[in-house]
Amino acid sequence: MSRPQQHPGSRNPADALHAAPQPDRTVFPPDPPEAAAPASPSDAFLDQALKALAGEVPPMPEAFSVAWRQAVRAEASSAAPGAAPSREAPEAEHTDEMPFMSPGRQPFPSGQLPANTVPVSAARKRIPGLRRLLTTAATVLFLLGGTMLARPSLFRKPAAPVSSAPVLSQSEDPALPLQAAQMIPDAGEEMPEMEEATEEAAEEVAEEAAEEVAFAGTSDAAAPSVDSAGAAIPETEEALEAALFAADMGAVPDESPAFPASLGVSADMAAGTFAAETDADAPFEADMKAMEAEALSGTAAAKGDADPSSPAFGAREKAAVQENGVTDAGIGTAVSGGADAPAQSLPDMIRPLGLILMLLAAGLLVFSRRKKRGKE
Amino acid sequence: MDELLIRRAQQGDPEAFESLMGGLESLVWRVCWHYTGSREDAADCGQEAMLKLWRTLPSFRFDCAFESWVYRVAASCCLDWLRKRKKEAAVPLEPLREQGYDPPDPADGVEKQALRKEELGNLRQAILALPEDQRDALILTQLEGRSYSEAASLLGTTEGTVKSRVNRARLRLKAQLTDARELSAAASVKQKERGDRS
Repeated sequence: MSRPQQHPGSRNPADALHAAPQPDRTVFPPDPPEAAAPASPSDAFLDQALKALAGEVPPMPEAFSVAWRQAVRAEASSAAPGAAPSREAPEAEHTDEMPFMSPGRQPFPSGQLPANTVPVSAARKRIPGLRRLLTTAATVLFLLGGTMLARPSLFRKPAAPVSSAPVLSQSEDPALPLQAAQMIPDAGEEMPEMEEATEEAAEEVAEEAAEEVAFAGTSDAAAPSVDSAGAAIPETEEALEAALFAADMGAVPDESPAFPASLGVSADMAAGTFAAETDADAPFEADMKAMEAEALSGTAAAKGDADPSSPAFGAREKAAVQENGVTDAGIGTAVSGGADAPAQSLPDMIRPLGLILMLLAAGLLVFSRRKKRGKE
Repeated sequence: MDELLIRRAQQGDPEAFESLMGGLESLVWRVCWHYTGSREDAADCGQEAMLKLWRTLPSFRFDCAFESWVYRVAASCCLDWLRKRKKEAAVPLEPLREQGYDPPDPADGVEKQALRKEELGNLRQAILALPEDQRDALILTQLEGRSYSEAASLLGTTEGTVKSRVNRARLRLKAQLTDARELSAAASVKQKERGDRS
């Protein structure tokens, strides 16, 4: 509510009510159809000029109407083969990343869609079945390959726990676990056959050990080690090999000191050779000794029913070491020991596999993208 | 009905476009005339505007009245056309005079006509020099004879906004025309003085 202006020279506010209204400075021009009289000469001039300008508009010539129709038809016919993509380019750009309809755009009324037009939403439904599958597979492969490449230790089998109990674990040799599994009885179950076999094996190994002791006794090499029971334990690799060879050949061990001679080797020669080679292999021999000690203790602990002081354990352990590279004794440890050497090369296999998987994933991604483009 | 025609035209049907624009071609023609001021230029500009409407029709999103969209496209096409024209038609008269071109001396009747033409030309130039919103409001209400409410619906604004724009446009035009008149009066006085001396 604006305050009425007081008439100048009058102190009575009531005069203001009767005072002439001041002209509003923000008077809008009159609505053109009801044009009022101009307020000033310049307004009159302007109105006159504007009227003249508006009245100058000539009637639309017929040529104009014909010309633009022809131009539009010509453009429509010339663009007819390629018209659809060019005119519908904004719609063709709608892909998975864009909504089908623009915000202000309304969908086609039913029945208004041209026959040759495929709605983008329908095409979109058809496309991504295989593509999404491929993308998902590629993602999984990529993650798996990346993990294999970065952390191969995750894919390495956990090492068998070193325990005194005979534990059956996986081996790289597929035949060995099977044999071991067949041989090892369940816990608490008695197996007479197994006991017999163990006895036989013990006898065999005892014979071999005796033979070895006799063989070693003829040489000048260091005296054989004696285990806790006083039995001789073959120390050198050659002795072990000879014992194994004899066992394999089924030769009757000759307990006489002249046994090497029966093989055509003089005792001195054999002793000299062994001594020389033993000296050369001194570090290896030390390792072997340590392994033997481990093996014996393991065997003694593992096999409660067997005699740990029997020399059969040492020979058997050596045979296991020679054949499978095992570090533990007993059947279970012989089975588990074989996994040691291949476990070192496992990361080397995992990394290339991871790389291959990642490459495969990249290929799948590229393939799926191309498939999408082709469908579009 | 119009919506159906528009959708068919958007799909590339020229007949639908022709029937759609049949009632709006006079609007396009008048707009082109107001911007150009000559019959030939208006025809050329109008044809370009029609082709532009045909090309850009798929981008029409039904978020405003179709008529106002046509007006905007036609106006922008006219402005582009004028910009092109300015670059091409900036030919000074002096070289032509040196080559022998002698424009006719304005006689009495002809002088009045020429002055009137000059004034109208000045007015047209002044209108074109206005800001876009003021120019559109002025053309629609003062030259096209549309009411404020019609102009408001065409321009997508309120009636009050249109009124204030027209008012500001008139103030500017008045000032410019007054200056132009004073300048032309001074120039005519000087010409008369030169003629008396000679």
